[in-house]
Amino acid sequence: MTRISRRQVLSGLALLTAGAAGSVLLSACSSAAPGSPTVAATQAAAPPTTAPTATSAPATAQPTPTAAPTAAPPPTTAPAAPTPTPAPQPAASGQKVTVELWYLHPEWKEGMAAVVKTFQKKFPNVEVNVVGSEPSQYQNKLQTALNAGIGPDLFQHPSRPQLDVMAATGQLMDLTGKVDVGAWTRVAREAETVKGKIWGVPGGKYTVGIAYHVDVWEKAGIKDEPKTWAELTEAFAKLKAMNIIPYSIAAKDGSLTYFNYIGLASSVLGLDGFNAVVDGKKKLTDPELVAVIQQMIDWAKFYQPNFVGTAYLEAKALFATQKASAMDAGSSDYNGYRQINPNAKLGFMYWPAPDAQHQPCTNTGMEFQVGVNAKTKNADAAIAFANWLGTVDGGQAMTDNVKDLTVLEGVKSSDPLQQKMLNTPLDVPVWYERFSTQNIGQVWADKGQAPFGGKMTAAELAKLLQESIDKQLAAANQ
Amino acid sequence: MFKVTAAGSTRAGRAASEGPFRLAGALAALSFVILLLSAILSEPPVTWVTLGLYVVCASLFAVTSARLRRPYVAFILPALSFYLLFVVFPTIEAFRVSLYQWTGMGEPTNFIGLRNFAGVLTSAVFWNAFWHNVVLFAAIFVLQNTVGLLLAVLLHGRPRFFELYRAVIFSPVIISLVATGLIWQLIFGSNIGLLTPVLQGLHLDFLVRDWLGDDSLTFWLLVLVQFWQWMGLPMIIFLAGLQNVPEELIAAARIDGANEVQAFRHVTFPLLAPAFTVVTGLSFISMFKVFDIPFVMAGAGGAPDGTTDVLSLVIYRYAFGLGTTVQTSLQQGYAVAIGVVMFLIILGVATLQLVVLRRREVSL
Repeated sequence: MTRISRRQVLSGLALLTAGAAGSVLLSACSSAAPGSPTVAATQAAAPPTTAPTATSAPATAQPTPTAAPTAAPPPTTAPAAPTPTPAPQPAASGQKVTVELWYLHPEWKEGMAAVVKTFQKKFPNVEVNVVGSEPSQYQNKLQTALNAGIGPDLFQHPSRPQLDVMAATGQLMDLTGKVDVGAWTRVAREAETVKGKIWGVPGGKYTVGIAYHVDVWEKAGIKDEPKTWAELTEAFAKLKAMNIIPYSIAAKDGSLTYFNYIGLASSVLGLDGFNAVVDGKKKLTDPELVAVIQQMIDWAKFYQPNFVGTAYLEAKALFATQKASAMDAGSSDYNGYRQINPNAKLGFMYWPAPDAQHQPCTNTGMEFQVGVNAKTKNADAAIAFANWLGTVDGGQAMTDNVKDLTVLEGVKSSDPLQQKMLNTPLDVPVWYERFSTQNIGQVWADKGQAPFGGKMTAAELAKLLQESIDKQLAAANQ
Repeated sequence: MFKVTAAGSTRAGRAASEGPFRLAGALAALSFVILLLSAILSEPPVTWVTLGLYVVCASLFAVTSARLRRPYVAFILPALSFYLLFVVFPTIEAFRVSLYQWTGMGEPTNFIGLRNFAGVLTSAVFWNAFWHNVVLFAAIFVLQNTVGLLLAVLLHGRPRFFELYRAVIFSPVIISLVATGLIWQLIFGSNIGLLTPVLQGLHLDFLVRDWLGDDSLTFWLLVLVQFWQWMGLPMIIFLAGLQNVPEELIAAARIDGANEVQAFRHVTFPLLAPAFTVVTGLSFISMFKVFDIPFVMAGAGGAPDGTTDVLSLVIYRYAFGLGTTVQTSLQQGYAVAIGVVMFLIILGVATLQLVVLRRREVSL
């Protein structure tokens, strides 16, 4: 029998390791090499496809619900004017191109599949693989992929002011002149324009107000939606008298106390007042704004027991199961509530005003904005989808299937609740979409429980909120 | 003379064969540095290629080492490579990132020197969270070294169902931390929790609290849950320590007239010093790194009113936001600076702790 020495065994092992490593290397290189058929398809000469209608007429003048972003670190010029766009050329005929779209609404899975089907009627050669992620994971997952130089062809990008930062990193493709902005409202163009360039396509917005169970309110004898704080107090008292929890709120994570605050404060401020707060010309410590916090404290007896220890999902569960009659809600929450209880009769009311001299209002932010990865290897197909999404066809598909509120001219909604949201008397942006006010939610999360326990006054919390704005303004001026 | 010549020729031969060995070693080291640089500076395909280059060079180094009767190199190198690549390199990279104002998007470019560290060390939020970590460690230290030791002593007596008790007490250690947080949230939850209706059912309404919303209570519930989760670990370590105490020493003490308590106090307890070192070190590190349970039970905001804030939560908040519907600005450079400060604190105190406790072990 041949005797094998220890040295021979070790040499053999080492060579095996080297061989295995070589195989790994080869496989790694082959996977890294972008030789996929989709790339080849994209790079092949593409026949002309139907061009989207190039519109040069600007959107009709809308009330401007946004502040001039003077406090944003990278100053932004006016929104890009609508420009004619070239025809997107997604693929050579007969060759399928697959693009991937990441977004943070896994609950939209079926709706998005229907949107893609509608898109494919016009672009049969483009497959869109939509991948939804949980909101808590989405940003980390996306940034890790983008920072590593990979990532999806299309992705839901953050709203401003984070969009300003992302645009500066070079991770987003500049879509100026590549997408048709003819149907975009001014809000949509402002939301996608940084330094005069277009960085994404608006897929929809959300509007925040108060959701309530219509039948529960009717049972309590509330016939008309309250329009002022006094009327809401009266309605709450009627509900409480019937042993119904009037309002579900989450103070533990600051989520719903924050929305409550910005909603009520927006009705006090109006659009000009909000812009003054954003610019540092008006302070949250002004008495009429301290009164907002005080009103929230006064309403505490109408919130569910233990609301200070209640987090967002728990508060939602209370409302969805009709244990509470109302709560803060955005337009995108309604689908979820209907899934839990298809028979639920849900109403939507605007944030009540402090008195009859002020207008009830809503807060609106961008829900779904899609950008193209600057490093995509399927640029034509990705741009084709993005472009289509920003047209009336795409917007209508989103409204019909995902039930998102549109930001496009010419898109119609048949849902009465959506119509009500779109016809709000006063619409103020969600405060975190402005650089100077973006961190007051953090203050509500950190300290927002204290006033309800009597450990801080309304004025003291207002001071902390204002300090957060002052800090941002100082950072912007550096 | 012959011996000297033979030894000389062996040395000469060895020196001759050391050449390729050193060359292969230098190539492996160089390719590793290239790999690190490409990981920072280049695109993924280039990194894959440099990784391949490193694997080839490292394999050559391993082969030449084996020929020189240094087989251990082939065994050490893979683990060492992974350690350097995935532990040491990210740690060093974290120091670099902490010197930038960076949101986490794209490459860090805005160099601000030590300003992040100045911000951290003057931040009330940081010191509040740091203090909670200290209190958490102190509480867990006391509970583990008393209750954990007591349980170990009781089990060391091998009572009936010894194995069952040991398994039951140890079982929380192997439960996922997130699952633990959720289980206790379902117990203490403000609206969906089990504890409140149970107390109400027993007509003990006066004991009912907003368990996760009471700023004088919630932190101590976190302590309780942490202790429940980790109680089994010190018990097992102390039990192993007790089993290593020689029976003859106890017997000798008894012959000298010591009772049970005296034998434990003067013989067993001092010999448990290595177990104390391990338990204290582990609890210090784990209580300063604690994240999952406070995150699940109290949320990223450290609610209520910052009373459950710990350093890892603060890092998460600055790096990734609140994780709720409320968006805030992200400051990953600042978050990494907190992480670096936390790393230095843990490194310093854990080293000091080890030195002091080991010295005590030696003096025994």
